Amino acid sequence: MKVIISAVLFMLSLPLFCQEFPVQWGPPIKSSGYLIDILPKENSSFYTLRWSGLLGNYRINEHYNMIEVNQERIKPVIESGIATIESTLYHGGKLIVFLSDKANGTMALYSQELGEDLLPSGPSVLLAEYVNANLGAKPNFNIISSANRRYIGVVWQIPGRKEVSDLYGYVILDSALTTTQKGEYTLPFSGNMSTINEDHISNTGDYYLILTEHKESNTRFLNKAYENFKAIHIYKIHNSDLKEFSVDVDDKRIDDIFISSNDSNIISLSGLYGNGNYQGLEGVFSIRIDANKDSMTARGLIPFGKDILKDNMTDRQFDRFERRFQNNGQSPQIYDYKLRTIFTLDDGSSIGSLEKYFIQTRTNYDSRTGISNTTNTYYYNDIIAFRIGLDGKFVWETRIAKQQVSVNDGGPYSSYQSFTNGKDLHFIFNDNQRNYDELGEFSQFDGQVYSYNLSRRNNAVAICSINIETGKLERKTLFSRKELSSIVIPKMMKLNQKDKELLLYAITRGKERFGILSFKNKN
Amino acid sequence: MRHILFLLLLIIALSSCSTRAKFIEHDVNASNDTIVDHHSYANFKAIKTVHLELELDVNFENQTIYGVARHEMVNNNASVAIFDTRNLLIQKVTTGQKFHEKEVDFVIGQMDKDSILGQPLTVTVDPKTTQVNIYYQTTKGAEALDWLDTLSTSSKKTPFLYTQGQAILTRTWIPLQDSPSNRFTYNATVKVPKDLLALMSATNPKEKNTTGIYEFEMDQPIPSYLISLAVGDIAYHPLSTNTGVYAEKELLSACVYEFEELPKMMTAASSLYGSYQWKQYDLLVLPYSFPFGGMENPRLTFVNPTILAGDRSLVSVIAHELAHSWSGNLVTNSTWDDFWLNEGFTVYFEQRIMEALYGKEVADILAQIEFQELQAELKEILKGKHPEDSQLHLNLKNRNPDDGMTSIAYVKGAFFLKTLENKVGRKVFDQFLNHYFKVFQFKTVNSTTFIDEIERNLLAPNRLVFDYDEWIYQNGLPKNCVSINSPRLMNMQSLAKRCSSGENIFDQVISYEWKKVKNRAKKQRVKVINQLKREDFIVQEWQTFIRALDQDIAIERLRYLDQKMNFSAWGNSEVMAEWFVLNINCGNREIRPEIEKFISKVGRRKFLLPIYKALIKNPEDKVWAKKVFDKSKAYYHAVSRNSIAELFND
Repeated sequence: MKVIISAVLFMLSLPLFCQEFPVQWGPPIKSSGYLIDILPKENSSFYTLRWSGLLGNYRINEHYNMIEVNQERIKPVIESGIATIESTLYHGGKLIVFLSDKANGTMALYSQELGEDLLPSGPSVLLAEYVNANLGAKPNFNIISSANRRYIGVVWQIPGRKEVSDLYGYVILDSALTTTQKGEYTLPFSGNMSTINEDHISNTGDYYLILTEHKESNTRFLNKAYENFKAIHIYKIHNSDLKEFSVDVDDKRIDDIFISSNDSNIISLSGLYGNGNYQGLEGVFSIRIDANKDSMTARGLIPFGKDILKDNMTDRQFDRFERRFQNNGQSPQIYDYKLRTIFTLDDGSSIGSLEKYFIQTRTNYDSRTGISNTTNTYYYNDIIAFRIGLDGKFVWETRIAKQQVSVNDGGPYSSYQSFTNGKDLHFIFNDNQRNYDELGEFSQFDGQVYSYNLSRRNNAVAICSINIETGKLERKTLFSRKELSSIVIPKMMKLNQKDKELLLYAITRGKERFGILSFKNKN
Repeated sequence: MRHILFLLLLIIALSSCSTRAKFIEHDVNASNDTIVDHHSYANFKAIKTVHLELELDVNFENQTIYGVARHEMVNNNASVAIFDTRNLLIQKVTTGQKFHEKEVDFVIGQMDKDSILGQPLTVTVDPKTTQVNIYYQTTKGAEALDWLDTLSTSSKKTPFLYTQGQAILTRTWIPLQDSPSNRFTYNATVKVPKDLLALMSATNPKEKNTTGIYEFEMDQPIPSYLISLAVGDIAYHPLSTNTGVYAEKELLSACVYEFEELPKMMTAASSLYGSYQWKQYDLLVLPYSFPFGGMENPRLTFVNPTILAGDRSLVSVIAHELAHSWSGNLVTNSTWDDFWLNEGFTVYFEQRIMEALYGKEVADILAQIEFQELQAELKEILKGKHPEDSQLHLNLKNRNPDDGMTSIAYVKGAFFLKTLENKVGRKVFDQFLNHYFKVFQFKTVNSTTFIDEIERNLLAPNRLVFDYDEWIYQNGLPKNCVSINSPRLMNMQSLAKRCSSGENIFDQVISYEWKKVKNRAKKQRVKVINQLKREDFIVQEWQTFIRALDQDIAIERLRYLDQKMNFSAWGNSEVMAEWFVLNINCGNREIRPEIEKFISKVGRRKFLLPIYKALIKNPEDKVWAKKVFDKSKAYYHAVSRNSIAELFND
């Protein structure tokens, strides 16, 4: 019966074929809770993790061809009692809930497999545990997955050892949840002289940890110490053996560190760098590691070109801007950009993107009433896309003009989702229909870009495609609000790199709809 | 008055005769600017290393060298410095002096298609950068390094390490501009286990110290392939004030005996082509896996223990390596396309040293033996994929420079010089060579430079015409090649023919002679037993004998010969190798245990290749050879191992 209903509903679903990619939308359906995450399964099916109910509980929903076919509440129960839900994953053909528990100073993480009926299909299994006898200590597990979804890693950290080196532990599990390696290790830095940036599991199941070393104790809480940056350390950890790749960037500062890897075991680590004493950004920092040989094959501070640094300035403004920096013995900088994505291509080169993001806070104080009113304006503006070649330089760098402004909401409809099929790098985001002509081609009027609009008449979903070889940019509408009757939420979209699908999400008047954009067929 | 005038003219004429020939000076550096080395990624025209400082930590446990290569460079406004690397792990790259270093950007490029050149390491520098420091470690893929376990050494107690950089293997253990066209000085600090001694192609310690840390300095500019390192339980014995021999203790006394005449060789060589420039000349006898007979690392020639024949019969190898102190080390080929300028000169020079020490007859025998090898190899090359490899100047672009290490470079090169000598006369030729070594010392040359030099300073002044083009740029052996006849070798060839035809030449021949006997007035009839003995002939004569035997001689004859002369267990590797090849060609499989013993012990490519080549001709022998190779290959140096593996892959 379930299948018949889903088939009928699927017939009603909206096939929207944009110029290059087949996009399939499901029908709008009433939302069964606040969406936390989409868990890609296979063949156009996926799960969603939600938070719902008056008292609040986690639910898992199953979707087949974008239609919800089943849902169940997740009960955080292990054999010893109630536990805490840490995360859910679809891994190795199974839906797994990760549950943590604390007993007698021992922190434990369990996996609970859910069956086809979304109910526990067996006893929970202990995956990892560590001892932290500190009063008030809580389980501190992090669950990460490799890009090809073959491996997952459970990582934990024992905090409260700031005077000495922090202790960390990890377990790497394969698709059958069998432990392939595990270990506990002490980093060679004291906790208050270093910050962990990211954990990563490569497609071959190796665990990487990226750590920033500070020049002095990192004691500031309210503001950021830009000058307090010494080096980056990348650790490949294998059964408690640390293989270290260190990069001393001396007077520079590196923000937003991202790591990615490809099937050939080439690891790309990228970040944004700037002068240590200032907030601005000068370019992209990049490291490439050949994990097969444990060899760092490239290290580069790649400065942005003039077109990027101009940041919408006129030539005259830019000359003045450049002179001002040069007078201080610095390189020109751009501000407020965040690194969003990095993909490592098959040949070992990498492509990525930055987004201009900042929040403007304005407080109005009424002296008569004594009431102050604060307005936060969220800006998600231009995207900068780039490719770093094997020579450690930009092959191309390009700016995608975009304006997304919203007030007091955190910008839920702002930002973008990007994906690549190895030939092009694509970006999807909400835009203004006035930025496009009647054929849907991007058309700037007087060099202006209209800020995105969510109204039924003016909202459009844009797709920007950049040819990876040449850097040539094409920008079109993917579909309009009129066609879709809903607003897409790029931040909630989920990339399923394994099956080359982008799971789309849109909402409209208390209803939601899911879609699938497939990029596997494009050569 | 007329008499006085005549006397004056006579004095002038005589004085002009007695002065040495005048040579035209010119800018010998000019040609270097146009050199293109296909076997290096380095941009040494824009930025080049002038001094290299090495800090090395040799770890035998994980068979890894951890190093820092500090390049002092001359920078002509370069924005990048490119170094050659192959299978190295680069940890970081900095610029600036030690303790004031700053990490800089670098990229390790793609490996070339056939993994010959390795990967370029491109370091971002600014136009003022004069110091680049590369922190690295070696890997299992470092083909220059031969790590020997304790069982592979004479002592069986301590391990051994040696390097072999030629032609382009130095980049597998040091990141550097690995082209012979760039010469630089170097110094090194090397940390090794305390019970071992480290030696380099530089100033060397004479004994172990308690710290295990050794300092080396080479203050004369050398090409990168001559940087070498050896670590082991090594002892030293001086042979004269500036010569000596290093070897494992167990081999030292045999070495001292074998190389006793080294100082005499040094004197002979210096008197021929000018004084020895490298201060010290020592030999280091390596374990058996060393793939060459010798390697001319300056101040410390590496030699293969197979030349310890016990009768000083193979010391021509030492003459050859010593000759490299002039040709090769002092004057170096700019690229591997002109390898003949290193080796052809050296073989010629080696023969001259041998002639000065042992006379023309011995030198001619050696030359003749080498010529036989050239003819055999030439035949193969002309029939093969690259008949153009029979030219002296090669085009090895996209090929391994080791492909050029054939008899062409060595023997055709030497015979070119011999023919030239024959044309201009020895005295004039020696004067020219003295001039050549003086003008080009510590520089590099290519074929064009050499042609220019012989035109300018040898042929034109003597109003001679010589077709050097057919030697250098044409296939095969020119007709004007000098021929060398050796009656002693001809005698061996006729003996071989008699033997092949079934005559038992090694049996006792009893004859009676009328001889005067003490205390007897009349001559008496005396019984004389004649029998050919090993010691009647030198090694090269025996080599000629084996080569001249019928290549399909009956196995019974081989058995007879081995029974009489015991070639299979002679101890002289040159003879044994010749003998084994003949037996394989004739299908004698009884001798396999001896062959296996030999090729499992000796790692020298010169001996291994002909034996394996002969074995793979027959499918059954090939299967057996593969088994032996698989068992022994871990022990062979990569140079030998790769060459033999190629035979099986073809």
